Amino acid sequence: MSAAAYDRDRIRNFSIIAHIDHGKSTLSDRFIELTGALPEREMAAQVLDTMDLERERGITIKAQTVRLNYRSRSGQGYVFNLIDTPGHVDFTYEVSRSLAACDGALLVVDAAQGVEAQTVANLYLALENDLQIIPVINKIDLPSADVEETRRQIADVLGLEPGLCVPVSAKTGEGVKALFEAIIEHIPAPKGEIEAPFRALVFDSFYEQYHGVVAVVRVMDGAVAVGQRISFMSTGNTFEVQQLGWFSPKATRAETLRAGEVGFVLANIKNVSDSALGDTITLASRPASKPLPGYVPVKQVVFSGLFPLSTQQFEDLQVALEKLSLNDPAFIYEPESSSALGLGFRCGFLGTLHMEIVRERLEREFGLQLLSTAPNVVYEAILMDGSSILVDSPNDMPPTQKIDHINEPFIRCTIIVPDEFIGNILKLLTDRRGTQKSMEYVGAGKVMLVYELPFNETLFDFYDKLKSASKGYASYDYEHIGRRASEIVKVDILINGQAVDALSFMTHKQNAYRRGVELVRRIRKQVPRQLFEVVIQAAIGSKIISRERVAPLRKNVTAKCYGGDITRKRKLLEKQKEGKRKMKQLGSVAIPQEAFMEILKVD
Amino acid sequence: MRPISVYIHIPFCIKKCKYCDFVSFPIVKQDVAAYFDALIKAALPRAAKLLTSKHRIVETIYIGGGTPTAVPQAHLAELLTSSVNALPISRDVEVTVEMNPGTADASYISKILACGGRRISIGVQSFNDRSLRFLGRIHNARQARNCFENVRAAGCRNINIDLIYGTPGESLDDVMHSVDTAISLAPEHISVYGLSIPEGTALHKRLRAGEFTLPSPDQQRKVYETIRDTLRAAGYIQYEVSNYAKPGLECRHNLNYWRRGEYIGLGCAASSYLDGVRSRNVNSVAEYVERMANGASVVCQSERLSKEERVEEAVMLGLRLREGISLSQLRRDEGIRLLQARRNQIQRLATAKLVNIENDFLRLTDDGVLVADEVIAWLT
Ligand SMILES: Nc1nc2c(ncn2[C@@H]2O[C@H](COP(=O)(O)OP(=O)(O)OP(=O)(O)O)[C@@H](O)[C@H]2O)c(=O)[nH]1
Ligand code: SF4
Ligand SMILES: [Mg+2]
Repeated sequence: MSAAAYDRDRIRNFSIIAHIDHGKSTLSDRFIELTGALPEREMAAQVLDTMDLERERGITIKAQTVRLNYRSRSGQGYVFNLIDTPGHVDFTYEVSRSLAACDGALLVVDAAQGVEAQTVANLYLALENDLQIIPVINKIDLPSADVEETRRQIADVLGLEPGLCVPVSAKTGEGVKALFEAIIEHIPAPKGEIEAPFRALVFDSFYEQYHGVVAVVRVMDGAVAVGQRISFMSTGNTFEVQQLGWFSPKATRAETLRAGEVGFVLANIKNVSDSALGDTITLASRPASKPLPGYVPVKQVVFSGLFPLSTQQFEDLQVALEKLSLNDPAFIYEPESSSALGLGFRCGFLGTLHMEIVRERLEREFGLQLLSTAPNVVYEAILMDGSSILVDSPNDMPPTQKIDHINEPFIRCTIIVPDEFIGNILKLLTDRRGTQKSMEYVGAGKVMLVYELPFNETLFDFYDKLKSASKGYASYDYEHIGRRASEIVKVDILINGQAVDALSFMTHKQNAYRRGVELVRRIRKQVPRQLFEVVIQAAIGSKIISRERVAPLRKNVTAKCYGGDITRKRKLLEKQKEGKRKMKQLGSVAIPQEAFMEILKVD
Repeated sequence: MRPISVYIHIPFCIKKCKYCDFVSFPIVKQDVAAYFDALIKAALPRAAKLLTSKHRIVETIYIGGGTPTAVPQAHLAELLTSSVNALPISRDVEVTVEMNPGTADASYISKILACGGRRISIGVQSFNDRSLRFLGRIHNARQARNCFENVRAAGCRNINIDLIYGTPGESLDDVMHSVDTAISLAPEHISVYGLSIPEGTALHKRLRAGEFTLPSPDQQRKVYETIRDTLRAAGYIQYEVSNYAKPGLECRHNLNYWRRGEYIGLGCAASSYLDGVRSRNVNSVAEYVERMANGASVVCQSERLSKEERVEEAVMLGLRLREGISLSQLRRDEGIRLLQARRNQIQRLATAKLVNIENDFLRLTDDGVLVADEVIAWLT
């Protein structure tokens, strides 16, 4: 079907969703290859993972849309609009946005792993969007693949029709053509009225140096053409359409976009906020009466301070954050100042992986060196006067005497794990203040656990512990379920009696002692001996919970002042002082930058 | 007439010690002859003229190296005689010659003294053969002892012994054996330096390869304090971080450096400080000889110190002296009131008992001396 021969009934819009690493991006590769969208020499593994970070880590961070032409066995031409989505829980927001632009979803399950936690989570997301689901059993080429067991789990655990399952190998391409046919057969063509006023959902947008904002849309009704004026329904701002087109996977220009189609709109938009995700675009000359249902705004759940290692880089950091947020609108930032670290930004993220990725992108794409303070969840402090405030930084916590109590965010997490590791996992969850909601056998020796636990407990080395407690087999997913009253305390770190703002943290009373002791020890290891004794303490209010000391320097005197070469000696002294100038101030004590980084490192 | 010191560098040694990064080269006969020629025929007359025109009077002469006594005795004798004759010297000029055990015999020593040498500084470094071998010295402990005895027998009344502590593998007892031996010989002056292993030396390579480790700061401190207390008990006064002397027998030449007095350096790699300018001569023997022959300048670096740098030096050098920094002198020389300019730092140091202020002097305490580099960095 060429662009001219538009036929809504021959369009299929779907997302590929799955647990991490079950092969979404590889399956997308086969779609691109088997429809001939890219010449062979331009194919690469996970060709849609274009960011360096995605390629290095082997994960998808950003959803990608591709339009493919497929001629079916019956000889009919079809258009597939495929969206490859990320698997990691931090990027669930990307998945749900994508699903709203689709009529169906391919739920991929690794035949060697079976159903995992995020298979379940993603299924629910798709069901919420009323999508037709085709279960795809992937990696059937693997010797360890168990297609029948996977089919059984898809039926029993997910409640899907086992007869619908399509076994494929995204690696070899086996079964993929059959999957194409299944898509044509089972995923409905888009609804929507070509004659109705134009309405399109903005489900993604990013910033391009030359063109400004690229809005990625799904047209629900009507049509738009180059040169027309469009209006964003939430703001009323209007723009003239400069270019239309789609990714196949290279950007391909088109004159119009019509009901059911997916593509991009360029309209000389310079501000990403002018093209908010979830907004509805309509025609200025013939506006639709009602916008499409938008998105629930994304909520940042993890906060941390980002500071330039060298204070001169503050402005560079500001510029970098502005630019990056054009491409990743899911994080937020506002200026923050710390007496230890100088000027920086308090940033909010969707999770700790998101936090890591943003930091890494800032460092790489903008050549910055950054320090980040310990991640923090958003607490709610209920004050004595009955009012309440949200607190995302320990230093914003009101004084204890003003607080009636503190609510901390909880999550419900789903863990699927082989039963031999169940003991380890239960212990871990209990240590992390979890309460069991259910425990179910899902077959093939696997158990699905549902627990409720404080989100904060998962920020520090939870994922690693989970993996090591299960030899890597446990899979994990979570959702936020609101805040609950909890005994949260603020722990301050004092250096020679002076609190260092960048090191304060909040934690449950039960963990305060352990974490205080650990941090104080870590600092002691990093603080070089100084002329004067350094006392490092952790304190809750005025109560000291841990104390270490760094004894003063014992000896540091160079011997000889030879041959009257005093210049050389002065140069040495100057070098020594230059080193000192580069240090970070930890209260009254100067420590090397690297030491500060070690101290702030999250394990 | 303003006092000044003269340093003459003799850049020749029999063999390079393993920790040494001084400018010194193996002896080559022709080089030595040409070099002494340049010193005696060109450098000395040039210096004499300069000093006379500037109305300076030479209070100390120091012939160091390298190993001055590694060259044939005639050369050194001539250099000494010419120095004393050519330069405008004061009546009680201090003339020091550095000497390494294993180089000069009794007649060599007598010759030095006869030609005007008055103070002899012997590079003993250790009275433990194992340490001497580790350091790559050319002599053993017995030779060191003989050397001292010869110098004394030749009638020298002002002798220094250089010692090194902190050699890997050396116990506190080993070091104290060296120190006790030195004391038993009753030199007028003893210098005790902690071993430092600069980059580029043979030992540095081995250190980096992990073949040995240096004693910890705690061990070094213990050794340092034991040496200091032992020498004090034996009647030596610590007048500088690493230097001890019988009362009145401090090395005037080095004192002049620490008090920021003027000096000129003759020979390659020698430094000068004159009229507020610090300069340094070229390192290469050949280049030095050639430039001298052409009547050209031998300076390869020079800088006029800013006021800030002068104050920095005053603190850096003055604090190494146990007498400390004369605050009134610093005010007169540089117009700075240190106690006010560095009030907070000095207060903190004083509270920690690392410095004290007595009469006009800011000085390090015994504890302060141990961390002198750090204190100095703090104060400058
Ligand atoms: N043997 C085999 N390996 C596969 C197959 N499909 C994917 N893989 C491998 O599985 C790993 C993960 O594949 P991806 O396509 O990156 O998985 P993904 O689901 O996109 O991962 P995220 O985007 O991080 O959630 C890669 O090493 C692929 O090569 C398959 O059919 N057979
Ligand atoms: S004798 Fe002195 S100058 Fe010569 S190599 Fe040894 S340490 Fe260096
Ligand atoms: Mg992927």
